[in-house]
Amino acid sequence: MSENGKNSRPPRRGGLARIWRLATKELRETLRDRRTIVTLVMMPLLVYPILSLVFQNFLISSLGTLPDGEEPAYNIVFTTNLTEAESKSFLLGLSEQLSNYEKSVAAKSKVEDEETDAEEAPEVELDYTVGDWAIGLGPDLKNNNWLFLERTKENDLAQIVAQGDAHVGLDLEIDKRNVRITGFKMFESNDPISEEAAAYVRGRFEQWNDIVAKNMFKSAGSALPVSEPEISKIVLGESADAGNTIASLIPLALVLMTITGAVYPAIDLTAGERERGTLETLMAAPVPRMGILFAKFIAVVTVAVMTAILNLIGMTIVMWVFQLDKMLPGGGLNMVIIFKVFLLLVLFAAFFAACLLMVTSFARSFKEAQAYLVPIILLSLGPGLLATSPSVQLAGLTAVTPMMNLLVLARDVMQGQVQAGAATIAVVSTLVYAFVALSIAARMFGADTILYAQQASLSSLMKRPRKVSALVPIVSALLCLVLLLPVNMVSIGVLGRLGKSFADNFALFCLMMGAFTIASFFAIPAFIAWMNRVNFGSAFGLGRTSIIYFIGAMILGLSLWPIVMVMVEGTYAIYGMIAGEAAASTRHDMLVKLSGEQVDRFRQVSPPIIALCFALIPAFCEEWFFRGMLLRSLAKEWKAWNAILATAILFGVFHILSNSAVSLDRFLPTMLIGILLGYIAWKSNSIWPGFLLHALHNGTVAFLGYYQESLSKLSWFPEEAEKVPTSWGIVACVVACVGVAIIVKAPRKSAEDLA
Amino acid sequence: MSIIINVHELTRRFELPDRDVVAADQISFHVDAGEVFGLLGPNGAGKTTCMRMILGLLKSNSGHAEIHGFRSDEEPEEVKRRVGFVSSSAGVYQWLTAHEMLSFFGDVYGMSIEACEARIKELSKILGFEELLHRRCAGLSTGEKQRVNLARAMIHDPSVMIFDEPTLGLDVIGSQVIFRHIDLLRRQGKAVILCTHRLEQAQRVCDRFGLLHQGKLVLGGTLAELQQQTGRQDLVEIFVDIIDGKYSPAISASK
Repeated sequence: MSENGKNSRPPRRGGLARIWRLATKELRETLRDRRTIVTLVMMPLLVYPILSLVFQNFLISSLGTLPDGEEPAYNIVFTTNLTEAESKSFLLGLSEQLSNYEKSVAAKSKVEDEETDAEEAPEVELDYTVGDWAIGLGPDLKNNNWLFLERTKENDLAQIVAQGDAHVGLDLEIDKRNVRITGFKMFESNDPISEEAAAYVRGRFEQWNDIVAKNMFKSAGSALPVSEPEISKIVLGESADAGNTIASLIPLALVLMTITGAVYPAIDLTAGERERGTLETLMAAPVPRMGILFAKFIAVVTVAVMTAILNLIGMTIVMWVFQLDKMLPGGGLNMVIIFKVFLLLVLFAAFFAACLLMVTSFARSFKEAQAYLVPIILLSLGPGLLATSPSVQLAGLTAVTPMMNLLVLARDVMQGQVQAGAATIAVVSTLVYAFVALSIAARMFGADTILYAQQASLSSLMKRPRKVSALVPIVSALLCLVLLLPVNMVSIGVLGRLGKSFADNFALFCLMMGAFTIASFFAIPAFIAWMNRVNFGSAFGLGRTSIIYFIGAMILGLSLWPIVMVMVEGTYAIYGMIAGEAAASTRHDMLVKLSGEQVDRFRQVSPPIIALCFALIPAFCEEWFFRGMLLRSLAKEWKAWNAILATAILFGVFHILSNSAVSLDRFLPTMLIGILLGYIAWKSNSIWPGFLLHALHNGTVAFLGYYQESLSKLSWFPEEAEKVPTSWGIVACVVACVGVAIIVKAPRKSAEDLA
Repeated sequence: MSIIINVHELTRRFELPDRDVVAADQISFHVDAGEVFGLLGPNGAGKTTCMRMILGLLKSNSGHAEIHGFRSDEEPEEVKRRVGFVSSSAGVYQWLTAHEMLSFFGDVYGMSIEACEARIKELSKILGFEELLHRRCAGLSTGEKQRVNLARAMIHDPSVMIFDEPTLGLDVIGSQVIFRHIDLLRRQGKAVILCTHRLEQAQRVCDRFGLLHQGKLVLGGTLAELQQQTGRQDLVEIFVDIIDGKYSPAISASK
């Protein structure tokens, strides 16, 4: 605070201490409120016992795990080269012999213990041949269910195990003469019981072969080679893995509880403050909004963390009492893991509190805030539920997806397998999101437009204003953006479905694609502009501008593509660093193949249609909305560069989503082109130079693919457009710089100049 | 006497979907130290908009307001530091005690703990709520809440006080406390702007008046000047005339 005026007083200790004092007041206020306490204490008291009951009764019993102390019964199906009777008697004999053997081992080791005379493995005399054994269950195998099946094609052991009808499938080759197992194929699944059963069976048979081998050695003087078991593991669906399910459901439950803890204080301290009439008195005081908001942020985070602690305690107790922790892969819970999960919860609380404050600062009343928050919480459940899938790895897009990244990280922590790089990305990106959300919240919190705004009714939205205005209001431009997102995604989906039926007539498909683009990026903004009764020329920047911008735009339009190609390659490299080389190369192959297929198909289409549908229509429609309506609306209220940057980021985001394979690779180049386009549009005060650049760039890329075969015959042309030589990249950079320089040097066109 | 508050052609329009409303139309006046200025007018005349602009809570479309030479659109923090603001819509923190709420605002205004304590003691004595200091605000009556609010607005001993309908919903005794205090403020040499519908009390407590109608300052001056201009005896009669549209806007209400 500046203290240069008269009558000014020195402030009490400033900085953090002051923020903390402000936060103490917020905390005092919210913690004295009964409603906070109810969500804080009651929820963990009730939720975890109920959750554990659910686990006990449904999940675990369905998996068939029995409590400790009882021997599990395994279901084993087997086929052999022998008849059913021979096979059964072989197994029964084997079982009996093994148990006799174990008894003699036990007896012998007892003797050894007493005599302290170590000796080699004990020997057992074998005195039978196959077929001599009595019918009946042997002592060792009786607890388990053995089912003999004929060795036929229908009896596919792998499938029986995969269906869960048996825990283990065995295909045995039995040497009848030597009473030996010579071939041993086993099918097991990743179901824990199946794994257990398989280990048991394998141990038994190896032991048996061992005994036989020793006897052979004794009688024949040489050991017959013992065949190695051939084991096929069948990976079942995710549901079977109880440990992983717990490891990913527990963080989700904790996170949801933390959210419940944070929601009420967040609403109460912002929208509630406005409703009670204390916000205006606070705004009348000489304290920066960011300071007040930060104090509220600390209070909300503190309550959320308190909720998290209570939940963590509840969870730990319940997991310990019901022995759920033993199911975790990686050896169960310990203080270190609990502490790490706690730290992640604190981070999550900070992130979510910032998001909540952003939304509730925008709300004008308690009810309005609640109405906004319900969809937000439901929306956040999406990535939350996705994160419970065990196949999700903390890499690439997942590592930067809010909420999802922390949940997957928490799961990995509980499983004791964390990758430092990906974890750092998850933590840092979450901190960035929290900071951005808090900055936005500070902008809106207590702003006069929110402090004194009327609650707009639906009818007022549908009414056209009486007066013509120059620009689309920022709210309407953002509404348009919100509308375009689902419309765009739906039209991509529709095109994707139609794509197969139009395989023969790709030209028609291209035209439809163009029509969809017009219907979304042109028609929706146009309608919204009409609703706002704006002057289309000024709202979309349709005016004329000086020729110099067109020259700059043309140079850029023709020189950007090699740079984009280099950049996309670079993104793969970064992706490779984050997700691992293998993932990056598969991804690359997939993308190249995808575009290769597209290229093959569109080579059948005539060039004018390509130019229309891949260059002119998208260029015009996207300029119309992004640089026309959106940028011009934003630039009215914001600093020009902020508006350009925001538009460019949104432009990039739309291009990620509009690709059939969601590809992060397109984001960076598209955003950078978006910055260029925004700058040109702002400086020239017109969308036309940007349209030229956009159309030329799209056209170049499209026709490079179109004529690739003939082009690649030229000696100087690279064989693959995706692999541009570095020299080309450098030349393109130089040319592009000339283009940028022309635009930077050109005098800015203001609205007055154009009029 | 020195001019503390200077309001210069403040204008604010609100764009509603069906019409534009000019809530404040080139309003100009000034208030000296030790003076109570009554900003009066029927509902929707633009009084609250005007006060919010003076405080820097609301941006003006054109014109500006100055307090101690600081413009509220340029240095809102300097302005806020020097103004105490009481409005009818101002609430209290229901879960805090009166004492906690007052010391919170003392902190917000950058006061030291000792100065703040002394000030709370002083104000609670003047306004007569010493015994309520450690009660939670939720349990206070409307009149008691408004007294706490008044103390809240004056915690930093500002040289300017702005009252927007301070007696709304208060009984006779409650209103009496507020008006008596405004009188005290005048004697202490503060510059005060008062908005109220209690015209008789305003007539008694205000030194000068500005009468607003449909965003415009239609009449201004001391009671004697108003009586002279209109030929009416009291504010109520003048008010009725204004609502009937008898007066065209004055160029400036300042002397």
